[in-house]
Amino acid sequence: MINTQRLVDTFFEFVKIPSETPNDQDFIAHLDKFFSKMEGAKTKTDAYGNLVVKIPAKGSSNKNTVGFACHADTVKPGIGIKPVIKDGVIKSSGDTILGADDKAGIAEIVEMLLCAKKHPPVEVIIVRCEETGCFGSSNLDYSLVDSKMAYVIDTEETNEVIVGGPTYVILDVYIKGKPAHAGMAPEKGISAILGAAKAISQLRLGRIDNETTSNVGVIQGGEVRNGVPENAKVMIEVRSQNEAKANKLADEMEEIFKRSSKEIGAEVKIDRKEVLKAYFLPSDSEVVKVAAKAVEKNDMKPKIITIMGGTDATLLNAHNIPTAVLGAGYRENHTNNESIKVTEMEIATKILIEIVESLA
Amino acid sequence: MDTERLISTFCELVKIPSESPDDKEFISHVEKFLRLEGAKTRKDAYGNLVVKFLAKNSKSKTPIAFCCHADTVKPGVGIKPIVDREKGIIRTDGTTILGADDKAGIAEIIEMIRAAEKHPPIEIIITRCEEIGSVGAKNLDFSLIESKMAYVLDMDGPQEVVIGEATHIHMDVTYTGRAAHSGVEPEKGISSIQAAVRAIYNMKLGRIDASTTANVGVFQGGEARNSVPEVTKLMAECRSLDDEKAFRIADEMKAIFTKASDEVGTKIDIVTDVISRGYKIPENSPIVELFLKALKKHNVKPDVQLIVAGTDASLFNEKGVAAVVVGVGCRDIHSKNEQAIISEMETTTNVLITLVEDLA
Repeated sequence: MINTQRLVDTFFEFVKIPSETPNDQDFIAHLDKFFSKMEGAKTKTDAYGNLVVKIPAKGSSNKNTVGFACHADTVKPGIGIKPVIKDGVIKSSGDTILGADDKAGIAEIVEMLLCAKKHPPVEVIIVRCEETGCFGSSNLDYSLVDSKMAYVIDTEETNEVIVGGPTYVILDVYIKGKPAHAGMAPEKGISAILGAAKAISQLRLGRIDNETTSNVGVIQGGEVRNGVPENAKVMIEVRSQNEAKANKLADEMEEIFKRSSKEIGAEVKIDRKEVLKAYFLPSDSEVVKVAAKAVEKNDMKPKIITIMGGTDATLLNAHNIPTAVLGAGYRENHTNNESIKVTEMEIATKILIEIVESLA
Repeated sequence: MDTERLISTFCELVKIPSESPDDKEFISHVEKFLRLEGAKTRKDAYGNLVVKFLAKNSKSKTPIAFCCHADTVKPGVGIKPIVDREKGIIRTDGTTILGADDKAGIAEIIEMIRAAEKHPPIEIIITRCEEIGSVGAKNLDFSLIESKMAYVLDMDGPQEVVIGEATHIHMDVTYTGRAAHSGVEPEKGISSIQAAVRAIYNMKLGRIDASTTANVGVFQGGEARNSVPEVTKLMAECRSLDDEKAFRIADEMKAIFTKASDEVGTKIDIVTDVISRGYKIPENSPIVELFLKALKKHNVKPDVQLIVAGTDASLFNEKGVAAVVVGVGCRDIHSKNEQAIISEMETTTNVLITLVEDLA
């Protein structure tokens, strides 16, 4: 049975240790000690400082390791957090976030390990610096990871199962024209702003289809009103649940910028990077089936969704570990109003227990 | 004329700093100096200096005006003029500008007053803060000025005679759309960048015709790659030697900016600022003919020009005082290499003397 007091105490202990990105190493050291005290647990940190904890099977002959991942870092302001419970809701009493994103998930995993009657080999993966762009999971030493499938505990609602995320391509376009005095000799100049405008007005932007979006988020062109602008920088993104669609759209954009620049005699340089690779876990995959069943066992209808952003699960999937994202139960994260209900923490923990027991 | 006296006056003037807008002390110095020469002086509310000399050996009652500005660009404190007789120039030690722009003109006017054997009533107008947008001339109390003709001394070579300038209009355009997460719900956003590029794409920019130009010099749109850009700011301008055409082009640009906003669904705000009104003085008008005659007498081949930049002369013409801009004998202004050419300063002074003696 879940020990609610112990669950809350563990959570309080964790949020009181600050871990604002990127200063999350003290907290990881604390977790290293914390997990080392658990029966049979072996801990290891990789070169980037991510923590991997291995816990042997209990009452199970299943050899397939299941992973549970959370991130150690929090957004700001996250120093001096004073958690308080009122009417079953935990908030911070001061001018800080609560840190339930993502420390509620870690506390729930701990409670799951203490309560589960049986489980297969379990890996707890605590990654650094998620909030500023999944740097921990990007730099994780995957040779340390044995998991055949995994769950990232890092979304709001406890019935959510996130099964897909997008390919995310960013393009930085640099257009270089030729400067000239705009009043005296404009014919000697080539306007980089005109090159950018010409291209952007031909791009497909916004909602492209139900799984694809694109955006020109930032333009900075020119320096003075009376100069033909020599330089313009355009910041673009493309997202799609479909890897091929994202790349095709990015190709099309590159083509348009190159053509438009050529037409006016400007030079163009495009830095393109695929930041995230799309993944999709089918409903009949084990990782989804097990999670959905665990949610149902707790009298909720599973909400199986795909999202348009990246999570640590994107990186784990890219390393061939089928990984779904589950709810930790927090609300209004990244604000000083962040909160979590004790009952939600209990439900999240029960779902985790159900998952490991069903895999045992 | 006395060349040594001219050089000594010039060196005295440039040693007194007058970086805009800190040119009041210099104006007081010039005021005292000219009072000793027998002038009546007066400052208007803005601090511009108006100096009046009575006619000398002349019954003429028609005054003629000469105008220079008091301020200099930076770095203009601690100027040490070096007279290089071998090269026939005056320069600095390379740590500051020289200030020949526009103090060579002031020194030449003073030498003209001292050396001319006869002249009609003369008005000397020393304006403040020309370098930062003819602010002194804009605020000049024209009720203090009786002349109907004025020579503004503010070009490089003694042969230069500017008889027309462009009307110059600034437009600051702000598009406000609606922000939205570009990956999650781009359809809820309205892109201000899209409105701006649509306008620029549909606009004729650069050289419109021989006398007209248009430019979008600065484009700043959006704040983050993953957000539909809410605010975009453009800095645009147009100029024409044809006053009416400048306003027409500005109206056309504003209509295109506005149409694009309507089409995309953003809000638009356009702030228009008429920086200077153009003028064109006929080549056969007395003010031009008198000067060309004086140049001819000193064997200087005139270079009669129309220019797109704004000078104090455009304000005089706007207020009904016919004004042309003529040279003082300097090079590389607004730089630490700025020089005064002694022979050209002599030429200008001699031309001015001839001019006022002819009018006597």
